[in-house]
Amino acid sequence: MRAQSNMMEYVLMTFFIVIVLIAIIFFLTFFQVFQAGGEQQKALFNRQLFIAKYFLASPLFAEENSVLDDARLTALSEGDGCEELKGILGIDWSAEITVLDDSRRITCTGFNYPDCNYWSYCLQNSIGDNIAGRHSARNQSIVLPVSVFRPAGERTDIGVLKVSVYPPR
Amino acid sequence: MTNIYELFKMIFGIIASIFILYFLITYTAGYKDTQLASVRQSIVKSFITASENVYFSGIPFRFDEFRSQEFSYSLSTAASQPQVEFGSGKAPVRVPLFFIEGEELAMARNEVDLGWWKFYYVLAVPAVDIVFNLQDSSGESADAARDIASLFPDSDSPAVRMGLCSGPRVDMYTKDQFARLDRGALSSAPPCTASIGQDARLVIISSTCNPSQTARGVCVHPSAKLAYINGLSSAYNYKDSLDILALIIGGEGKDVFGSVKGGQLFEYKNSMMRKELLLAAKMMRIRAEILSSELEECNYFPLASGLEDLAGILADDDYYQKRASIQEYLSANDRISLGWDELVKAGCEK
Repeated sequence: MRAQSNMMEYVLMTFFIVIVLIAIIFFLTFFQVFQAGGEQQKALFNRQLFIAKYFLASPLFAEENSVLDDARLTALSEGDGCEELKGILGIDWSAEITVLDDSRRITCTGFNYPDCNYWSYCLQNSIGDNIAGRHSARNQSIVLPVSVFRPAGERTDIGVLKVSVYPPR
Repeated sequence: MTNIYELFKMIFGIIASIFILYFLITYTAGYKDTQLASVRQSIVKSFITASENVYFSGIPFRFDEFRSQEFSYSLSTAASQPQVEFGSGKAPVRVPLFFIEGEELAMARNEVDLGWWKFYYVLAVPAVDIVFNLQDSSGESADAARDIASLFPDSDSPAVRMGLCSGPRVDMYTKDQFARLDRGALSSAPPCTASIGQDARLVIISSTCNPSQTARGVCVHPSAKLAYINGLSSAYNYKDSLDILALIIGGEGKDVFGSVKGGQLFEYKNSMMRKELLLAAKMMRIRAEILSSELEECNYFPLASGLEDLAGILADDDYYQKRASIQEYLSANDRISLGWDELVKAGCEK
């Protein structure tokens, strides 16, 4: 009877060792998964920053570093600019630039230029292919102050650049 | 009963120990591999972030994190999104990046300046010797050598040096010293027979370049705007010094499929630049039309016309492989530059 009880002790001890090992493995795995989640958030934020920096530094948008050119912005928002920008910056992002001039928001086109103050790229509002709608609860945006050069008026205005990136589907 | 119990203890102890040891060893080995891959991934990501910072800021940077871990990495341009590959890992590259693998890298931003537009790229090189062998004494050859040398980062640590090879002799210079060499020093020399380091890059500049002459390095024919690389019989038509740089940086090594890396990098450069330039040409043409109606004193027509022609040429994915298309490309760019310069002179553009 005593021997049987000793054997049970051994079995129990082994059982607890296995439980402790499994707990350690769970902890390490959970830690890695948690880290991966944090990395994904960081990657989304880095992508937003990358797109914002690209807008501010690329000669496609900026007359000189960090000064956006409203004629370039208008020309890019015409035609299939978004599709071509996606070829450079990837998919699932959007950008909006608004000049802060106290007037109501008017989207710039080739017809109303320069009497306008708003440009948007790759913004999707319709339901169906609606990236913004699908991920609106989870999308992330950053807003940065920018200078917008307006060659027609030979002045530089203050505006904001909003970049949104949508998590992978 | 006691004997049976002793036997049980022994057998149970052995089985339990083997099980636990096996389990721990397998798991820790796997965990170690995962952690190692994670450390490598973070070094490569840090390299890519550094390249983006250099791309956006234009401030040169010395990257030495590859020192902490010994592993091989390379640029893969096979997919539509270029990637840095390391072992089984991959990390996407979002800016035009050209590099030679090394533990310590000098990174700098350069540009292809078309006057009306600039194509920025980042170059990262370890300690490397770029050895020139000028086989004719034309001013064009000396200028080509200076142009190519000017693209490399000005760095003492890691040391980026320029060399002049003449037969069995090689003279080495810093980038600054090389830029100050007079025409006499950059005159015709016999073919290079010197043993240059394994990691050095040989650039032959000659008006008689051909595949058989290119037994080592890259051979550049400046007046014909042709370049050859050892291992490939075809000539590359180049339009700017970045085309030549891509061949030099990629080098004459071959990948697992037997493709010459210099050739791959040449394709990568042209595909990246074509994508951005096509968008820039279309955008600037529309911009010219918009501004011409607002700024009536400014003549945007020559610029818009040149940009339209350029966009037409760039619509062909393989334009850079066709000599006639390259001539049209250069001619369109000349017309755009003229139109742009006129607008700058008139105060319509900065």
